[in-house]
Amino acid sequence: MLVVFFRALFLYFFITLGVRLMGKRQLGELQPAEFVIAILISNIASLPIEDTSIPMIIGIIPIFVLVACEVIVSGISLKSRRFRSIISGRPVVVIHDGVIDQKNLRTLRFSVDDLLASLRQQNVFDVSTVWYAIVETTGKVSVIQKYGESPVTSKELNLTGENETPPTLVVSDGKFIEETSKETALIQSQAKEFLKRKHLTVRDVFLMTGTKDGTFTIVKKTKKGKSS
Amino acid sequence: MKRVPVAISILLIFSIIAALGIFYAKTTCNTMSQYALDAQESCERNDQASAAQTINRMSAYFESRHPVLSLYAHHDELESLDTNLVVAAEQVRVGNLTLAAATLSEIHFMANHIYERELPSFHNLF
Repeated sequence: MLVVFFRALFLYFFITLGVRLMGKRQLGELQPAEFVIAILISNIASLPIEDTSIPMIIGIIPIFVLVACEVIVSGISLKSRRFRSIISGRPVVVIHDGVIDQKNLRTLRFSVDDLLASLRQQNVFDVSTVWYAIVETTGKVSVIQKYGESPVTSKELNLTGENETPPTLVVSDGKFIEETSKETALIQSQAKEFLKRKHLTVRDVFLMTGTKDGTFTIVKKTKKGKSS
Repeated sequence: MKRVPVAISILLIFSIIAALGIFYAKTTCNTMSQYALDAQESCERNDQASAAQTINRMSAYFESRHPVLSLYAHHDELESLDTNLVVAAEQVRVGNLTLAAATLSEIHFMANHIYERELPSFHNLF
């Protein structure tokens, strides 16, 4: 039983390493090849854990070979558009100017129900309001609605304003986050002053975010896990 | 893009490790087969002492190769070979040389099988 325990630990380590090697792209939207790799890795990893007569290396080598192939294929796809279209396919227009392209839908084996469900997920309930609907290589549907059907933007209303920088994470679970730039260092020093004024220490804080202009949001730690 | 050279390196390293494994299995198999044949001949000549000595040397040799072989071969097969070595030694000890010859023949076959299983042949790939 201890053998199984250690094998599971080692394989967890190697799989994590493999997934990290594949990069953040793997963790987001999956291309068909990436989806296949993910399933294969999970199946292969279970073999040496279930059967202790199989050498561990028979689990580790295939995982890393698949990861390496995926990375190489991704690298080639970056350089070659043709190769990319062979591996991942191309986006396909399925709606244009409110009209569904039935031929493309049939080619994709995409049913009308699938299409309408994808549109509804993007708050589009009327096909006639769609200017373009494109099925991406990941299977997701991207929609752009006709002018006058999509939500109004501040630009269209001639409203002026500034681009806002998102708040920076300053404190996480009672500890200051490591400074990565001059900006974060400045925000951190402002945060320390802010905490002093509030008679708080960093250990009292569960979460703290801040902006350059000195606006801070604090979530204090509580004993029972409920934040305030 | 640094990931691509790392990925290529991983493929190269593992292919070298696999190739080394095949070479290691081949040398082990050849030596074990030679020992098995020698011991078999001794059994057929009714030379109990020579057969026992050869089997002991074969067991010691297999024991020394076992740690690295266990990285490549199925543990069940190695255990089976181990068991057959013990059985052959015991059969020679009690003087049952005919049976010992049959067991040694099996050891010879299994040693070759372990090597052949590592080869990327048509049979193994498909």
